[in-house]
Amino acid sequence: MSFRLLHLSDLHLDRAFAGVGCFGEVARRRREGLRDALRRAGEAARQTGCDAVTIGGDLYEHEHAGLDTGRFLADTFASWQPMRVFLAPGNHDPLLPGSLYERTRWPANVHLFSGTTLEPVALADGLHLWGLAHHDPAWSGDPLEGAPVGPGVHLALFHGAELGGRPPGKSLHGPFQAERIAQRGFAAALCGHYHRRRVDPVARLLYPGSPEPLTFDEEGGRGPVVVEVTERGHVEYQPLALNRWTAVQHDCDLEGSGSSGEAVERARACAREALGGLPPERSMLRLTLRGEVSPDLALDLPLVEAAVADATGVATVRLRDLTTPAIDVEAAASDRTARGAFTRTLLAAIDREDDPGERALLGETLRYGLQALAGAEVGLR
Amino acid sequence: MRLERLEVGGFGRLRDLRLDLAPRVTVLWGANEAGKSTVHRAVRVALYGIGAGGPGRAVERSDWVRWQPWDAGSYGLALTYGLRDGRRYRVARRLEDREQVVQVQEIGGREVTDRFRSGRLVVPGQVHLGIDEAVFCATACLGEDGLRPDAPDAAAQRADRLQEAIQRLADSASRATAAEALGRLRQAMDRVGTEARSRSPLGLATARLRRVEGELARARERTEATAREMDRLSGLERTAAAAAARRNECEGEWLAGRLAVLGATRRALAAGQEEAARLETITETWRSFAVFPVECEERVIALGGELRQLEEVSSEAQRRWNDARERLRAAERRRVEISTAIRALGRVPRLERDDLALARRLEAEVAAEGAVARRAEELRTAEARATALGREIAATGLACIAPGEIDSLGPLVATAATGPQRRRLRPLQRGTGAVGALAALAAVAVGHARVAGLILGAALVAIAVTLLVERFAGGPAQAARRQLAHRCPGLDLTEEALRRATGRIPDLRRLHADRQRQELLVEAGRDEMETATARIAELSARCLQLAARIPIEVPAPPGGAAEQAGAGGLLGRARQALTAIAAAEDAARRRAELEAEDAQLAREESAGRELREDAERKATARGELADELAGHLRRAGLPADPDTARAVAAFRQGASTRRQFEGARDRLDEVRRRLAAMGAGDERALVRQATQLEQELRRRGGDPEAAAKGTPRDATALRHLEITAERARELAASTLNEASGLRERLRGMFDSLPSIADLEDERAACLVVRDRALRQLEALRRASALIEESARRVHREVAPRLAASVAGRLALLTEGAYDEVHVDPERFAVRLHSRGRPDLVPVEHVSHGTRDQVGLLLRLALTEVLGEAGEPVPLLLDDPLLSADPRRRRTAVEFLLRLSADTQVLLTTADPTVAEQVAASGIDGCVAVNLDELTARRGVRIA
Repeated sequence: MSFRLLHLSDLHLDRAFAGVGCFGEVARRRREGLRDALRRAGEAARQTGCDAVTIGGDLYEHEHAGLDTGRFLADTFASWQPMRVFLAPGNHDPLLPGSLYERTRWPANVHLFSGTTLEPVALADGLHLWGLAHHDPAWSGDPLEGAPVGPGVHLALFHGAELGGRPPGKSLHGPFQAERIAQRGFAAALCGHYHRRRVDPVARLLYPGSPEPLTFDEEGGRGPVVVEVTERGHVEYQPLALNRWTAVQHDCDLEGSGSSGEAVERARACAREALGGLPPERSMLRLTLRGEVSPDLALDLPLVEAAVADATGVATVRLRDLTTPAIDVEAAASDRTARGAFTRTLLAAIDREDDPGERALLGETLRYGLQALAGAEVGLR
Repeated sequence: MRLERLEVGGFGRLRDLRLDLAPRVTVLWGANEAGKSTVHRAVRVALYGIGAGGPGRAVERSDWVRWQPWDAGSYGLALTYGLRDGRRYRVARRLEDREQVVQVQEIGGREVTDRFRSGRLVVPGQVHLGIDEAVFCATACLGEDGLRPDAPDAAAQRADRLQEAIQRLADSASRATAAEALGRLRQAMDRVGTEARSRSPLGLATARLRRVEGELARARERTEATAREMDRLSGLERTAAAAAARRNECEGEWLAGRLAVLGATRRALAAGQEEAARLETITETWRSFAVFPVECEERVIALGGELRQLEEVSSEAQRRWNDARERLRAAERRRVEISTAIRALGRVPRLERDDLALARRLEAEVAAEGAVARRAEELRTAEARATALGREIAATGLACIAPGEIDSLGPLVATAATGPQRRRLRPLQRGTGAVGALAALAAVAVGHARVAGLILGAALVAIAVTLLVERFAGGPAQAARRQLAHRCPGLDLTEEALRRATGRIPDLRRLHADRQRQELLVEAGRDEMETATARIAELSARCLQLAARIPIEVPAPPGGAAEQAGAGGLLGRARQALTAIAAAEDAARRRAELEAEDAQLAREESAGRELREDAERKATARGELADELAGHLRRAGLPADPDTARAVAAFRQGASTRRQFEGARDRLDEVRRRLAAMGAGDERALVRQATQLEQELRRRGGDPEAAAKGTPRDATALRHLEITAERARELAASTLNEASGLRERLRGMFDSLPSIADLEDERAACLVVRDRALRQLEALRRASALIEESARRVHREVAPRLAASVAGRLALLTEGAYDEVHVDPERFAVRLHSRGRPDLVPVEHVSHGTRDQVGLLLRLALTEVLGEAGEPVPLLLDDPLLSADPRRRRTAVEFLLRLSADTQVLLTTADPTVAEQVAASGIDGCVAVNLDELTARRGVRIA
């Protein structure tokens, strides 16, 4: 008899969304949306006849999680009975003293993996689920460390970073090699950490992705995946599309914009184009402003963001100003005036600087200085 | 750089214009709107191109649009110029499209357009003059205000403008001064604000951030407090549950205990009733023992013990007496024997210690004289040996040979032995002897003794005859024999004997030597013995004297007087005396031993008698105790028993039975009381109570049957369980009560708990704003600092070079009126030194004309300082003397004419007098062109 379970991860309940430009009511809506995502996942599990739900870490964010979240989780999981729920804490929700995992009275159908090495739980006759918990927000152990498992079908559930498919800049928690999954004898590794969905039957690896996009670059399909272990021990995956929110990134060319009004109008047009067909009230939009603009152009990004949000009704919009002022920096650097000395000094400093943040700051210094030396109003970014 | 020719295909109002420029001064004069300024602009466009809009610049507002030909024809121009080194270039620009077509041709050479590209632009002016368009415009292009001799402004203001213009040129190539740029930056910083300025964006963000962080901290504290309260609630609930469980457990245990007690009570009742019945039977059976003298038991037991002990002691005494009796008899017999022995010993002399010591010494001396005896023995042995040797010599048959003749007789013997001896008659001799003997015997036998004598005599005669025959019938041997016979009478001269004698002669010689030696020894020992004998005699006398003094009788020795007089006899006498003394000593010792033994035996007899008396005494005591025991038995109604142990056991059994009877009676009373106390007779109440308890226990999940069979707890334990259960109940109740209150309070706390995530969001938003503002502020501050520093540095570099450049030209142009110029590096304030004045004169204090000249020279100096390309920059003056009075205008033209010696001047003016003045100057290289006439000529085409 086959066994079916629904796997999800990286829900990040109680996440702060300020980083993506969501504040106040919108942020609250987003957080409520995450709870809805969990409820929908449970409903989907019930509808697809799953026997269990596995959650591969980052269920909530320890730093922001309130006590109410613990009650919500306990109530939600209790409502899923008789489905069993398996929790494998990750780096954002480590099994710390005083954490929700410890403080919440979990219903009987919840099993919380608490060991730092994989430990088994029988799912069915001959089918075992192995799981572990992060006890440290910066745990860097190998989750697949250990001897091969015995006979039968074994699934692994943990929060970890597969080194072969690590997105650039993604933090390294519980690093492992995909080859180790088969070497240890697991039929599948049900993982969490990467927010982009990755279903890799060959490598026996499953990252369902965050159920709702949390950052602007989290585009594409995501969310819970139904995992079925057939009678013959084969593992089949059925990704579900349950997300209600959408992240959109779009470029906006401001080349030649002579005034801030013109720039705003272009940004509005780009936003409308990017959001075509999407429900704006559940969309996150990031516009990247590009092009060479007049050095006199002073763009106040919050104002532009507000203008775009008003025009499109999008839940959240964030502008990234990658425009460059139409200043011939090379020419400026070549003259013998104070402007030339200023430009040369800064260009040399930028050239020496390795820290991207400091380089950006020096770039802004150059921009402001050249604007001022051009006799123009300094446009703040 | 010298501009040679400007060709305009179409540019603004100009169309098909070809203007050849003089090497020094070219004056273009014409009415307003003749296109004078357009010519200037066309020269700039040729050198630096024209902006056609683009990133950040609208096309429609660009210069390219502005300077499009008025007649919509071709749009383009060309400029030919030469350099100091003789190279000449022609720059042609076709401007019809925004993407303008530019071609730079080195005249007499090839196209070099690419050498003049800077980005998307082709800028030969920048390459050859070393300054960009801005600097060119600021320095070389002067408009109406550039040289305005009679401007209405105060001199100081004009000087300020000059300084400002220089600063602007030095700081940003005329766009803004560093101070203005700093001002712009300050304005921007003001827009950002500071953390302290609460109304500024940064101040607002900071204040909001602080507020949110405070709220966040409070929210976290409240959340933590709520969590702690939740933990406490969980703890209370756990405590209440534990207390309830404890209560249930205690009550269950109490019920089980009570059931066990009831079960035990019921069992005890049954057992008690059964025991009572048994005890009644026992008391009835043992009632006869009710009067048994149990009080005598201890005495009887003591009697038994004493009796048994006494019996053992008496038996032991009797046994010892029996054992001693034989020994006593033996001792008595022995004492009789000792008495007899003592009597037999008779009188025993008393031996003094000195006598005994003397006797010991004498014994030693006698023993020492034993050597004399041995010597005497040796003497006797030597004598015996000599005697034996004599016998041995005799045995050789050669004793007749004297020791001194052995050597001489030896050869005779040997000779005698060599001849045969007549011995053929020997058998006859023997036969005759034998027959004669036999016959004699036979005659004797028959009684004829005479006959027998005759026969025997005849035989003897016959034998003697034969012997004589043999004697006288020999030779030399026989002679030797005869000689031997003569010298050694008695020597056996038979052949056989002689042969033996021959062999024995050496032995004889040795024997005689030994005999002589022995005899010598005997002779020597005899003297020694005589001395010793005298000494021994004295010793013997002393021994005898000692014996006599003791006194001890010494028996007379055997043997004769001679023997007694010898050393041996004397020594024997002494020994006898000493032996007698020793015997007396032995007798005395023996008597003492016997007397000691007798005393010992006397003591043993006494001990034996005591044993006998003891045995008799103990037998008497035993009989008394046995009588007392028999009396007790009799009084107890028990039969007498010779066996004390049995008798005592019987008495003890009787006493035990009496006690058992009494115990059974007491136990019966106690059982009856206990039965009464346990409710005997009301078992139904017990059953009802047990049933209730069983039901209660079942409700608590207990097993009544097991409980009833369990070990009953005592009342203290049950009471303890009751108290524990009650305390647990109270604890559960109070904890639940507290938990209920806490739960209610928690509900309120939960409802009012702020969302940390919301606050985090708000905090993050504030942080974003604040960080952005701080970042902007930091960038602005850095920009300000860098601009200030750069300006200061450039000013310090530029000021002295400007001063030097202007001073050289000014001295030349003013014919030495001013020979020195000082330029302040801070603000570019210019001061001049003139002949006749010791101090430096601020430029605002000199004449207007000089001031204008200084200003123009400063511009030219700046082109050199900022450009440093080595090429003189042509001056493009667009009617700078428009508002000047005729005198100043004339003075200025004269200055320009002098300046044109090294700087080409293109001067446009609406004033024909300026053209006339130039034309009238008569200076080569100066021309005046009427622009109106010039523009009337058409047909210029731009290649």
